[in-house]
Amino acid sequence: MFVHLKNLFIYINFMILFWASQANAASGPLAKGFGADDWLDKIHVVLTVLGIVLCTTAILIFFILRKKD
Amino acid sequence: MGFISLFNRFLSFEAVSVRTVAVTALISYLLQINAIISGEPLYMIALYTLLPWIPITLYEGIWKVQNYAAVAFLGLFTILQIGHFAEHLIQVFQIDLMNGTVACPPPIDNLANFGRAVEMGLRDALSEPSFYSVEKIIKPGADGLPILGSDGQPLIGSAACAVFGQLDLEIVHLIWELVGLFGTAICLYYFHRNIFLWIAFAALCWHALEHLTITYFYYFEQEKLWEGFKQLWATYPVAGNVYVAHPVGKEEAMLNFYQAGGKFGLMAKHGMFEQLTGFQGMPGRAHLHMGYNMTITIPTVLGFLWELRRLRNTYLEMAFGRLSVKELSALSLRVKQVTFKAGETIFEQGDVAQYCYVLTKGSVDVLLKKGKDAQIHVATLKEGDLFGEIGLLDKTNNKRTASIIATNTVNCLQIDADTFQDLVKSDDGEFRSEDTSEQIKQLVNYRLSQNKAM
Repeated sequence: MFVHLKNLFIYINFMILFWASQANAASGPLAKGFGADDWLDKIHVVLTVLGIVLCTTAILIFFILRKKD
Repeated sequence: MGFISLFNRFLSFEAVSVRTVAVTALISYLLQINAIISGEPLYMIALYTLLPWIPITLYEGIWKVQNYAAVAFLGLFTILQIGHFAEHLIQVFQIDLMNGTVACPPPIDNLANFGRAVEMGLRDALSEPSFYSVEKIIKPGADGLPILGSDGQPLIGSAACAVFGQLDLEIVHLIWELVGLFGTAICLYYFHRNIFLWIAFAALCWHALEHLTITYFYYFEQEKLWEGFKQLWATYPVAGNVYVAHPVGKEEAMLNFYQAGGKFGLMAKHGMFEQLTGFQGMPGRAHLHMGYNMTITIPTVLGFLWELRRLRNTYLEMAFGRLSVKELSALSLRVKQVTFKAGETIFEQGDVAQYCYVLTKGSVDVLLKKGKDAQIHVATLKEGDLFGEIGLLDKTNNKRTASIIATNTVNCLQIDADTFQDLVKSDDGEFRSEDTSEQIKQLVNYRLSQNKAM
């Protein structure tokens, strides 16, 4: 059984190879030419996500506080 | 003293027998030793060690939530958050103290990396790639080749992706963050006066903003617009199944938004804040996110410890609803979990009474002897019901007035005679609850009249 589990874990490692554009979070330098303008081009994404987070937070707070002791 | 007892009670196995825990510990230990002797890397050793504990921990966790309700949920959630935070902390240790290199998930001993190692003469061409993740990385310089130390040797350190680096993926970070956010919201639903949980909730909201933005770029901005490089590795074994990644140069590549700089997120070094303001000096992403998780985990732990003072058994609360929260917590420490099989006689009419019980799972039949052999069914008791109290109240006879048979597998909380007397006496002892004393007397009178009517 443990041999199978080991193979499964290795298989998961193997599957990561096929992950579309595998993450390398937090590593490496910035690409050439990448800078403030590129972030400004994507600022609508950041603001949309901010809106989603604020709405979700407000809904959660509403449900939390609606409960009486 | 009471708080420490409650803490110990929460962390101890109550639903699983000592023998099961001992066997699990033995299996875990044997697997761990076997993995170490077989030369497995750290993540395999950790996996083998943890694996046997998963089923009994899950079983115990479900039992705890059934018996201690929301406090248990908060406790288990806190343990998960501590585990997550530990992974972040280990990564920072690997970077700062173990000469670690961040390349997460770590390079794998695959065909390409194996081939480069063979080309460089670092390993035998007749061997095969193992598809293990590397545990060590030789530090690459700006040219993609090894950095040499003062002794002329390459600088080698940990693959700084914590223990289970294979899970260091954006989707895993996002899912864990959202589990944290909604899990904390659920806890706040039950403990909305807990200021510590509100602090954790605020930190989680900000953290969600970071991860949702990064994950959006990771999956939905695939256009490759920026010139960059891809680090190339050669992998070979150094001991047993422990592999090392050796940098062998860089390959020019066009990068998408995430790869070009989006992966640093909003506030980390090279991230949006630094880019837009020109300020430099923010911590790297690994350190920043360790900080985020510290800001989330410490208040969560404090919030749990605050609520732990009120840890009390749900079924005792059902049976002794007139006790205060503090008294229920104290009573929870003085009971013992016992199990009876289906059909087993818990006690027989005429036996000497030593304990009374509160049902936590299953049901029991109350039977009364009529004549020599006949028995009458008086009642069926269910979860939260108290039984066996009449014999403890009758100090002169101290005898059971009815028989109790388990109709299926039954779990009960066993209350000893001293604790029960303490509950009944309103002027002496730990509880001194007139209401509870009255409640028990009413129950006993009702049951005695029920028996007489039969």
